Amino acid sequence: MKAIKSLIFLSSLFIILEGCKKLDVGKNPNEPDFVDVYSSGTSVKSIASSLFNTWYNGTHSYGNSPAMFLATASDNVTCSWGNQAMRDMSWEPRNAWNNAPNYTYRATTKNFFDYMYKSINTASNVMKAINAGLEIGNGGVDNNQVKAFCKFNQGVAYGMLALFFDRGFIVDENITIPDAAVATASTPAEVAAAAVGYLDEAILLSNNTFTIPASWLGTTGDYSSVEFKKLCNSWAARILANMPRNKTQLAAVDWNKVKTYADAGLTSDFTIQQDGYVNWYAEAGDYLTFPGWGKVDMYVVNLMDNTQPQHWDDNSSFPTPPESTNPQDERIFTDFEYSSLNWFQAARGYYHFSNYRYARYDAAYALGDGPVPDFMKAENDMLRAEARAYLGDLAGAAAIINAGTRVTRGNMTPVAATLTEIEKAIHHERHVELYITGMGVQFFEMRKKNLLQKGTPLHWPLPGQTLETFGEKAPFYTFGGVANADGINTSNAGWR
Amino acid sequence: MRKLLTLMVAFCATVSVFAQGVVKGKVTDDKGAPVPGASVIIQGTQTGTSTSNDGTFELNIPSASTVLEISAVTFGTQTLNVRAGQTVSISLVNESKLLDDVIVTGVAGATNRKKMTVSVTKVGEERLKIVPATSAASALSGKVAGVRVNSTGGSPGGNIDVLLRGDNNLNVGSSPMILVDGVILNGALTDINVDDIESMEVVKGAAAASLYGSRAGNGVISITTKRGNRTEIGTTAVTIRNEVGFQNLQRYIDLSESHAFNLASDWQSVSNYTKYAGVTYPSNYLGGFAPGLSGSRSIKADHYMDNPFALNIDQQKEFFNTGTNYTNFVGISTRSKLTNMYASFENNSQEGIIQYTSGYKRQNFRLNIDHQVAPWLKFSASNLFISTKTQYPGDGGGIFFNIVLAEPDNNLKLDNPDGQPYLIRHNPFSNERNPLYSVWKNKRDDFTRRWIGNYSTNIKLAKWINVDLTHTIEIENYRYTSYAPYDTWIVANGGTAPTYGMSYSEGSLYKYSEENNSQNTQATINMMHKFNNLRVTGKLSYLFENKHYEYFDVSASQFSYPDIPDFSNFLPTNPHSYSSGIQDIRARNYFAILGLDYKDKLLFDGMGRYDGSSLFGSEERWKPYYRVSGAYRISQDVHINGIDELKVRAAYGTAGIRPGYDWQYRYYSFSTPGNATAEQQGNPFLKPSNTAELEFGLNVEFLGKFYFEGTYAKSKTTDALLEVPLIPFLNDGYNRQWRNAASLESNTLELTLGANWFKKKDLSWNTNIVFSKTNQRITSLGVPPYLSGPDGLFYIKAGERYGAIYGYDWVRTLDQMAQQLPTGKTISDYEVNSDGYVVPVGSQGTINEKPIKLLDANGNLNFGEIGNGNPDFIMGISNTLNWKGFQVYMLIDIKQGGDVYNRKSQWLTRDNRNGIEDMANVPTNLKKTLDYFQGFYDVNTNNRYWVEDASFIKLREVAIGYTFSKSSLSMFKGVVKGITARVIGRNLLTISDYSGYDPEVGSIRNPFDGTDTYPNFRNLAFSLQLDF
Repeated sequence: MKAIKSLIFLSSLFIILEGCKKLDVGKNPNEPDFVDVYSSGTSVKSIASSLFNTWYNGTHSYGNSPAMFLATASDNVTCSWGNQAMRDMSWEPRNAWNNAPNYTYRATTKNFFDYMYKSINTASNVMKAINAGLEIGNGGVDNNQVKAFCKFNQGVAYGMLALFFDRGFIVDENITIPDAAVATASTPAEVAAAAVGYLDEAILLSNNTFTIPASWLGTTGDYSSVEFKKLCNSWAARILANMPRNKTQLAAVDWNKVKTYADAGLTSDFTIQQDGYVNWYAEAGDYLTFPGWGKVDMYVVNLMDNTQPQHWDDNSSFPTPPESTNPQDERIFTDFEYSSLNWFQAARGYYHFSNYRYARYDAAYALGDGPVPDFMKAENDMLRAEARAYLGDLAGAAAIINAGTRVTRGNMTPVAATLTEIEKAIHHERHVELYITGMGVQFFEMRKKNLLQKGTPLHWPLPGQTLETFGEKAPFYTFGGVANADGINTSNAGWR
Repeated sequence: MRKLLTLMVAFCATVSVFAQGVVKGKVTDDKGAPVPGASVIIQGTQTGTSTSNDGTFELNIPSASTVLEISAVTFGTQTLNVRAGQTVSISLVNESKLLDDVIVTGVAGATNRKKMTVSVTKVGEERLKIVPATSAASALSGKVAGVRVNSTGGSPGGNIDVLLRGDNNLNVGSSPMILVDGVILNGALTDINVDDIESMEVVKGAAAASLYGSRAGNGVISITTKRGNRTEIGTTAVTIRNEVGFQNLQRYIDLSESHAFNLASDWQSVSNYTKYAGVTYPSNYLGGFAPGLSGSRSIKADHYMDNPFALNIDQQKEFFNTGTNYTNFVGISTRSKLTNMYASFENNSQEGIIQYTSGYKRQNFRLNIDHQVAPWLKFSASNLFISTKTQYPGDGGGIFFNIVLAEPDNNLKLDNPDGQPYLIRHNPFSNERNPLYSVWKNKRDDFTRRWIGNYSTNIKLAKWINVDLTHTIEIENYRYTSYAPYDTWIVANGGTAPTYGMSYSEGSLYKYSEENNSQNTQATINMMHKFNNLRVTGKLSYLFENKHYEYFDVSASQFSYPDIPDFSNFLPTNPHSYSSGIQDIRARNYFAILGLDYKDKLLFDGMGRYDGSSLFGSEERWKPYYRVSGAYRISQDVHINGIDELKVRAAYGTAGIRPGYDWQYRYYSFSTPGNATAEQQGNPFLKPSNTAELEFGLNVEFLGKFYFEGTYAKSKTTDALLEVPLIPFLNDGYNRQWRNAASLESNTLELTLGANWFKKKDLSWNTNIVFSKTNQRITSLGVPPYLSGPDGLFYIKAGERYGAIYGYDWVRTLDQMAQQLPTGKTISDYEVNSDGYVVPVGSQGTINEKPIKLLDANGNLNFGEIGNGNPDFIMGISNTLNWKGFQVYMLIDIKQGGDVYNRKSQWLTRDNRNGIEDMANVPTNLKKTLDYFQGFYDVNTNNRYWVEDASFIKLREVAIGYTFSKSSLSMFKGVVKGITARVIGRNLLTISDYSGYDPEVGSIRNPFDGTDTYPNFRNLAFSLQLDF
């Protein structure tokens, strides 16, 4: 009896100890769910505020972006290290892109692809929520701000996809493609058109008055809707002007459109204020410039001083070129640093060697907390000049160039108002003034002028892992390699 | 009033009993010593008495004859028929003797191993204490068939991979569930000390482990620690063990001592660095990066790496240290009539082999108590408090790569520009950092405080039924700090010439803190009754699991003031970052088990379990498990000459593995603070995986000396958990989801042979051999085949062997080459070179000698199986020889087959540091250019050249000891009861063709030798044990 009493007592204690806790522990307390994100105006605004940071990480980080190999493939930066495919995309002669799902640097295209869609799909869901009547801010006061930002992000994400891949898939708040297949994907031109369409919507929405906070864009200060509209315009021009895969396509660009957009574009640099490796870090640019890593390709050194070799020939007797003393472009003294010691391995080819490194953003990169421009006014100027040049306004083009960094910073002789000279001058500024700004700026420039070395891919296949997920069979299609040089997918020309 | 009533009832009872007669008796142990405090109860009543100090008792019985039940703490229970007036003597058997052969894990009740129907192997203290493992995690190596133990790296206190039989999971870990004194462990097994362990029971496979349901798909290891119940009543036993030893590397990686660069014409005039042609050196140059250094090294025309360095420093030997390890252990056990206690303290230190790094230190405090509150009520408590401190080398694993990349003439001991030692740019022609600076300057200190406790009450309701109420606790606080001082040199943009292109990082501080709190409550009704020839054992149990976890971390950089590692020392505008997380996990589990034992020869076992867990998707909250098993002890019925015991058994059962905490949820993750990104699609239908296993066993004891056990197990895992990639634009931006999307099969053959060759007073010799062989295959996959593991080396594909290494291959025969001739070429344009690879004819020894990749039938690169990570078999052979006081023990661990992908060797080739490239002493006609090896390097593409057979024969444990006899200790007048001195070796010798530090590298699932692995090392120690 005593035992039974004790048992009852202990059992009661046991039940009390255990409590009446339910098995269901409720929602995930650590990360927001879809419902959390899209149920209130406040949280929709929060998720919208992250869109550009997602895009930025997909285009500027070390591991998730093609930025580093685009820089070496375009002979703007040289680096013999294999990291992030820098070496694989700068072999001489050029090799094909390895699109196997197990390629060491597969994340450079796979994560880039995924990050763009993370931004696109989230922007689309935000748009859906607003279109369904959700109000952002009191009485929907911030609806236009958020909508414009979503449209901008859809535009820049589709823009990067169009510039980089050979095909894409267009989805948004109104378009779904449940039966999407690799074979029926949209062409880059269609994706680019969609991108510009979204930017058009952003431009239209920016006629309203609002402010894009600095934290949304990673900039030093807030952007007014007026400044934001300029950024959208510049982006539309950047996409349209950089789409051509070759000279033939270059001739078909709608330069009137480019001119219109660029003329309404940036009047000051769009600059990312880095925050010490936390949210905003122009990581790829850091690796492309810091000691022991990327150096300036001799192609660029030669642009600034034509007494410098244009190419470090692949033999052991090639002499280390001396420091420039009388260059045509004085930015070699301010933005670049003589660096005769080569840290690259000779066994990987002397053609990777260089006698200069880039030093312009050293202070910003030293501790990762300074400003690094991402879309310079100078780039927009070149888009304005380029459009004018191809539309026949050579004087107008020359005037823009001569009022810009070529003269103000480089102390170079003003460019003559001829198409050839203007093309050369634009080419020069993109390689020198726009060094490591924006992902792929120099690559797109080389591509449309047929200057990429023979065998360089002109665009990239959908990532191998994505093709695998689609159920495609390996080996997966790819581009690049001298044997495949067709001028459509793979460069069949080149500056050398 | 109530007291009065009780007195009256007691009086009446006494009178009535008194009227019937008295039984007198004496209770002794098996050696004849009196057992005081033993309980003597009339069966089926609460009436009884207890023995006095001399073990005697006197009890009134209610009738002329009755049955007495005699029991005492640490002794088994005995029953005895008695008559009034009789004087009896009862000899109780010490429980500890009974326990040696008894299995308690996964069964209906404590079961003699001869009567087991499933595979559970018990490793007792005798086998564990000869060479006490540095932790419980490594104690099972080579001792149990079907158990694979793999040290994933040598980092002191680091993780040990344990796999029981096959690997039943794809994206989920395959570690078994660990129980320590009934506490389901969440934290590391490497913190549990071995000196306290009384036994380890290894419950292999899903059938045997079914009782543990959704946590036991990978099997169970149950550890029981010592208690005071083995000590004689009224005595105290003290054990002191001290061990001190040395740890060092057994072998080093073969690196090139030559290079292919053009030497300056006057290179021999310089002795402190190699003077290369094409490089201009500043005056007074000492080595490393220095201002004024310019130019580039160039490769000599023949591309042979056969030029000498000016000096040949063995960088690995300079870098790796001989570390020390020590253990101080004190264990005290004591026992009184009603209470026994075991307390211990262990102080353990393992320095490891890295300079300036103190390694792993652990203090374990244990207190185990049992108290018989009343004859029907027993209280037990087990407590273990653990405190660890681990210091990791600065900059993580990069140092292990940097040290092998350092060239033989690099002086790692030059000063930095400000006088700090170890110039970080020790090689001006490379961007690798000086690893000595990293270990000298930066530190990471980890601390854990952990409390593991089990508090149980056993209530005897009747002879056939008792109840266990148990509450277990495991609370672990873990925190660590990484600190880089203000003046930490880094190579970054912004460095100036006077500072060698380097700058100060201005410092950073990172702190991480987490707490795990698991509290489980269990109620179990234990039943046992014998109906004539049928013994029935059963359990009904309910277990509630409740786990809470939370963490936070914070980091900031750029100190305002040097040498103050405090977060207040950062301005709010400085870079800073933070994160936190919280998890609550609950589970309710109900189970019932029934064991039938007919005449000690026919045995049956059946169980069912129903698990509900918050980790299962909201639509799949509950999952059932079951087992049926049986055995027939043939030798009980049939006598066969020479056969002492013969048993066949079979079992079929299911178990599973639970999903991870957030796998069921759809969520946006915080990729950076405040910024959320679409991450994972949710799955409310996510279930635990389900492993069903069928096993057959044969147990034979023969010729009075030998023991054999053979088991064949076949398991089938369905609903295996898999992280499935999604197309983001079809899934709201989410690019992955957890699903039950795969199935796997494995089969294992386990053989154990034990032999007691001699068992005499002064000479004994026994041998134990364990052998196992496992095959595992992926049978279905709900996603396209994908590459998994490090660098995507392992191909996950339906129908494929699990553990297959995939990559590209090289043409090795002219027949192969004939199938893939390029246009315009004939087979006569090729030849097989001295290494057995096809190369262009006449190219041997030239830069045109390059391996050719094998193509498939379609002319594409042949992507196929290039290796198999699964061993053909594993085997452990142990021998123990005792002669008088001497003891020699040796455990040899054998792994036959099983490839390792040696990525480190491949990476070394990138920098032409690999020893295979050294052509200095190679005959001219066999020399290869560096280009040839770069062909195989192939920018780290996965290819067959780097797959190595990692078979090994390892002298895993060895001990030579002497135990002083009692007579030789007479000078201590009985105070010191025993002294044992031993020389102990752990991993002393490895015989293997593998070219890395150790063929035991990477995880069991992904045998891969990465660049950042802390090498395994050997340990030689001296141990002295004193028993009081």
